[in-house]
Amino acid sequence: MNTALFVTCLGDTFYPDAVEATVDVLSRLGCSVDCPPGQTCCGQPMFNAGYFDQARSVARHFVKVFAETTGPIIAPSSSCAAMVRNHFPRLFRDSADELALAEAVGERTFEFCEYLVKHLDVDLAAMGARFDGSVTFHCSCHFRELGLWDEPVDLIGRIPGLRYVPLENIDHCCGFGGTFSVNFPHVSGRMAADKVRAVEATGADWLVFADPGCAMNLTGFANRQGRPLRAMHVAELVRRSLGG
Amino acid sequence: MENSFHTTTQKACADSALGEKLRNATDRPRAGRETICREFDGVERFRDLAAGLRDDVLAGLDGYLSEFVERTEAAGVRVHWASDAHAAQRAILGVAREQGVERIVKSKSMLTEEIDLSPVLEADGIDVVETDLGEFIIQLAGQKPSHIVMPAVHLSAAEVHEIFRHKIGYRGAADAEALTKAARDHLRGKFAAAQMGISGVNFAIADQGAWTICTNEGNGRYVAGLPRIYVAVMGLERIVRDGPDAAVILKLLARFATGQRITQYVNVARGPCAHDGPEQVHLVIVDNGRSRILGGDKWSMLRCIRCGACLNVCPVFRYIGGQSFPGCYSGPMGKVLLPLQKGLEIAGGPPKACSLCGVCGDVCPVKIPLPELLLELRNDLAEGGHGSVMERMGMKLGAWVFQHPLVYRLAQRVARFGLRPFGKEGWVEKLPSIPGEWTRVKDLPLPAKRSYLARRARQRDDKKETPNG
Amino acid sequence: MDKDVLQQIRAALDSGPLAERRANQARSRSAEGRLFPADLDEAARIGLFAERAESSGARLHRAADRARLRAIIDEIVGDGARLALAITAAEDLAPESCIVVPIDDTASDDLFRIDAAITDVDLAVAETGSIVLGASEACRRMISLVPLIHIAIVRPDQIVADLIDWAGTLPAAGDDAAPSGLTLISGPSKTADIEMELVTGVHGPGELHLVVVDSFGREASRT
Repeated sequence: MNTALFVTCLGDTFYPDAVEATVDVLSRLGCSVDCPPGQTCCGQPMFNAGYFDQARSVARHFVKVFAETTGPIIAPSSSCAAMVRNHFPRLFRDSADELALAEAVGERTFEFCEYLVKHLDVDLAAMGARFDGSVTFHCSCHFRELGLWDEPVDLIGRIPGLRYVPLENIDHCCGFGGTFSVNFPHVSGRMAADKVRAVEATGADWLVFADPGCAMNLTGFANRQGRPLRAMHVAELVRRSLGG
Repeated sequence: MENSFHTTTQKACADSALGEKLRNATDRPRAGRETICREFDGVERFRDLAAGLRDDVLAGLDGYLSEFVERTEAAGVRVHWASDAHAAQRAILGVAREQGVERIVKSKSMLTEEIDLSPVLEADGIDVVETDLGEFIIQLAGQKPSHIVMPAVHLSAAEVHEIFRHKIGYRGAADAEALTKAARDHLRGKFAAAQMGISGVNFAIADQGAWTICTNEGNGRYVAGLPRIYVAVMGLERIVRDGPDAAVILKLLARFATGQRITQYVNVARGPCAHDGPEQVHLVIVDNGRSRILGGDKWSMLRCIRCGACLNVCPVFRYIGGQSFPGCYSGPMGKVLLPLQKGLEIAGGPPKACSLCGVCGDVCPVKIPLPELLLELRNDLAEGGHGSVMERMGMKLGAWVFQHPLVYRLAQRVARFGLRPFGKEGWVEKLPSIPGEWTRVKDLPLPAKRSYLARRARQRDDKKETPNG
Repeated sequence: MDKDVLQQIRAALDSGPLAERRANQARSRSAEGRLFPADLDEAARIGLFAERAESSGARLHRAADRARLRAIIDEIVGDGARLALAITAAEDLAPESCIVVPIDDTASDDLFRIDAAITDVDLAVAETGSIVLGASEACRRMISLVPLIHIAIVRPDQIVADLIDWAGTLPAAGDDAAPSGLTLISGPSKTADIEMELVTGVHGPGELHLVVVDSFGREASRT
């Protein structure tokens, strides 16, 4: 299967290992992964802050770059996949041509866990996957936006040997929210504190995440408290389990 | 004004006792709603139904209001139209003066708080007593409501005890039961002595010329039944077509508000009554910006039935509560309604106090697209130039960088280079300007030594491989 | 003044995003909101009514006949209680030791001195465990609000299944005989406004007793 990689600006800048793991896993699953070098960002930071004009310009660039690709576009971030699939139509609603192009790109854009579970239905056990350790998972709000919820934990559950410890109040927002974290840092901090406390309460070896934004928020807060979190992206977990 | 919202939320956030009370107050009705909604055997169907019937009424609002007014006037109700808060105050004050009213009892009505009614009546020498227990408490305390359904959740029983001790000479115990009994005894005297009762309207029923007042305590029944004169105050969008539509809304209202199937009492008021009700009934229909909202792109906010379900799920509301808001409405619905009513200058802060988690939109019984409305309000703020200069420049610069891949890659290298000296073991503890707001409470990871795309570019250059690794 | 507000509404609707929907008014679908079928059999209706009423805090009693009803009332109401009645020909229901206080006007001084009220109902709704009381000359609504104890007598044939069925009983337009107000009561008065702690008997009764009487004897009519 031909796929294209949607790196995401946060993944690119802060979590390149997670992006590499995404490519590695897809390759091992028999996908070829095209990585358009001209990609940058989907425009979500501008959009969430209300700067629709600026977001549109960035989104236009995204559509241009990815229109050249074929096959599923895979993002190691639910918020970025949601931006392209759910919010591009709002940005291009006044131009029928651009809207059609954007929707064509959007309908083949998928989040990483979504793709592995709903489209590839991966059998990790059959591939010899194994992970000895306990993990908990923070399910980002954007999974709800994408009409998903169970997929990431489903994927994690397909790894033999792994002990999954559910996070209490898994559906509570971690407090990132993009510009919210700089506009209302005091509230964002309280939300992160509750989430980090819940993570620590699981006693799990690892916090697994699927969204760079949430990860930066939680690990950044934990680090400031002097109790850093061991965290990895779900793609890194899968790669490790496959021996990578 | 926005700065003061920033200040009030900061203060609220720092108050951990308040936070605990807010979380207690919102977790229970939230759990109650989830449990009881399983009875619907598919709550989505009901939400679609309710949204549809609200939209149909809104689309024909002039016709339904006309029908309603015709029927209610035929039943002997005096209808007053108020285009804004002042007109509503004047109408009600006018009735009070005309009838020589000196004592008024009120049941809970967010609208009367929105139009700032009580101060106007009190300035005229009229005694106005709130009879909903939570509203009674905060009236005595001189405070604003912290939640649209449970206005006194921010107060402990001990604090209520103090308030009762000072304001009504209470000498009893400090538990909820004793305090409630004291309020009951005190307010019975007020009900008996009042010449006028004022209530809100949950919704009017167009083909009945009647309206509902929902309470758990029974004060709504007193207010609308005992005093000689009864005045109901209604937002012009709070109306349904007929009895069956009313039944659908009733099925949802209490379930989504508190997890009950229905409030203990639903009063259906339809005019003066010779024996078992008021002699005179007035209805004040208030616009106060609603018709303007109706004609704009955010009209769906008018579907709201004031259940408070969105407050109970908002992860931000749990920490800041209702008193930090620049108005009587709060939580997600307040974040949308306040700027729509008061303008972005006064109420531009609330739409930004949102992490866009989306749960509010998922739980609203009438499917108001709250997350989308909040984004649109942010767009209005940006286009109206309400963001700081730094923010505007940052967004424009960011957008330009993101449209030019080579500049983007260069910017990443510059960021890494610029931040590395401030980094400690991969983390930055302090940044200037807007990013400094992040580092107030958290560390920021250093950008990676080489971004993913930079690694690929180097791989390509080194090995001359095709991009299909 | 009324022309102004209605005009504003009309203008907003004609030129705004709702213009299209305005032109294509949908048919009512409220029947889809039904949770229980209208023709639910009597035993099921009574059972559902009892379950729902009790979960809202009301106390349910069954009485086969008037004699049993009298006995139940006797158990509930204390000796010497001041009772208000809002059912015709129901004087025999008041226990001997009680004082019957006639209330024919809400301005009556006696209103706030009654300890208990006994009323009939217009209707009952199984889905929500509610009883419906219309306004009446015997001040049925007020006497059922003021004292701490309210006893309501319900006939099985008065129980409808769903709130939508109740809505169907609302009077047609222009019906002059319609009561000028009615109240749905679903349990005792309650609040949780102080520290989320549930307290009953706030402004209304702390005890709501619903007695479902199979055979009431002489027909109880609305007073």
